[in-house]
Amino acid sequence: MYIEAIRKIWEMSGFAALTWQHGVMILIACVLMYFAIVKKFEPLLLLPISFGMLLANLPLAGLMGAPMGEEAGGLLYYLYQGVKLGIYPSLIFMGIGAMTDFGPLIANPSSLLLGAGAQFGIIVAFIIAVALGFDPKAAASIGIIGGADGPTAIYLTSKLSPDLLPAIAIAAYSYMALIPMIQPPIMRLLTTEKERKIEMKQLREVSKLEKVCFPIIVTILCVLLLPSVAPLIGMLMLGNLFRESGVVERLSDTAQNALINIVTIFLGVTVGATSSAERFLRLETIKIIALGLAAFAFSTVGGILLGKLMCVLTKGKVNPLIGSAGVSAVPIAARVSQIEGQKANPRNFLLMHAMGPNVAGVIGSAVAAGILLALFG
Amino acid sequence: MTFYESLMVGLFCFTGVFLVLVVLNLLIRLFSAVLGSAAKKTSSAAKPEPPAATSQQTVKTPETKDSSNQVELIDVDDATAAVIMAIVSHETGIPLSNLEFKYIKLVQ
Repeated sequence: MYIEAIRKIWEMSGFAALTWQHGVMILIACVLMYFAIVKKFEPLLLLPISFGMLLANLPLAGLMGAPMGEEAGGLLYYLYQGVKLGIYPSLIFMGIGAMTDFGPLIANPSSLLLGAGAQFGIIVAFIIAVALGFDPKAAASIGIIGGADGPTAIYLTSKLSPDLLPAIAIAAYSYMALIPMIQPPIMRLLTTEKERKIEMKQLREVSKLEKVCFPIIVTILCVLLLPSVAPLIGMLMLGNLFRESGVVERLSDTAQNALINIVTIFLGVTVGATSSAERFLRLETIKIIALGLAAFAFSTVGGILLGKLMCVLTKGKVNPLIGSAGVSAVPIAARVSQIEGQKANPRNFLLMHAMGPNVAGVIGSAVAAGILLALFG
Repeated sequence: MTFYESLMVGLFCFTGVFLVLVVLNLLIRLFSAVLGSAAKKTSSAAKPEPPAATSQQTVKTPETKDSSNQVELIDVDDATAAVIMAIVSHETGIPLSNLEFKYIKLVQ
């Protein structure tokens, strides 16, 4: 009788339903957790993503199960609706806006062009993805990895190609964490020692009024031009207005701390939970990972080349290294420009100059997402 | 979608991003210029008139401290001094304009 009971318990347990595919996914989840905890690669997102991946691949738990008749769905199924409906990426953008100082961008509006140049990788990855046989919606979702902006990538993919969401989210966040390794060789390859040594003039001080007007102007222009980008740009600029207006300290504090942290947990866990073995263990995933790397690399190339052009046009007043910061990973990409600049010239302080293209990249990738959404949505 | 079509879509998208950001660039320049000239007008209107030569009254304007001009640097380069001053300002929460540095000296 006891043996029969043990047999039944075994058959009802997840162990009996475990396949080798689940095993591989659990292993991948553990490797990602290792990177997040030990190597500290984007731990704020990689840790919840990897744990969500682990949960989704433990058979019979049904955390992502949709409701069936009277039976309620799994916990993560309901939380996932925030991703599916594009709510979490927009709320994260509000937090980012509340944390971002657009002062360097307002002081040097030309850095917007560097933010545009660094979207080059989106286009290159899109074209290669189409050549590799992806349909245009999937190719657009893969291309947006080159924007180096996690929430934008998740937003666009959830709208255009939700099946690819886990692979794209993981590629986007992994490469963002690897920016200090991906960008420097490209930066050194494309610039001369003389260019890297260029010291840039200190930026002018930006008045409070300018900082308050900026989010309003950007919202009006971008949302009128590209209504599809309203959730992202609208929330980004609302968060920034909270910060700069100085009259809603509590809201600004909530947006940049409590709210963004809560949403990050929900977003990370549920995106990870979409990585079921049958959706993730495909040849497509490997292609996406490779295309994501190409997208990042070409975005860096685009930013640097435009930086070089601006260097020539300004007769050597712009250090081309700040161009690579146009990929929007804030502030990692700007820090990389600073580090590379100081390696060439210890008196070089490029951080604030690089923050301009860096935050311009956030707007640029959101605009690119808006255009792709308008084309394929 | 053919390769040519994807190339055209790519170019369209890239051009679109550039155009939006160029327009934004111009708008920022425009509003900065407008706000700048408005601020100049306001400040020149608010400036007290110079006292007449016959007047015995003297008008005192608030002194603004510019610590960067007064600080004495001993074995410290400008950039390092600027970083130290910025850190002190950030850590204490006192704006740099309200801080007065007498000297910054390298201690070995």
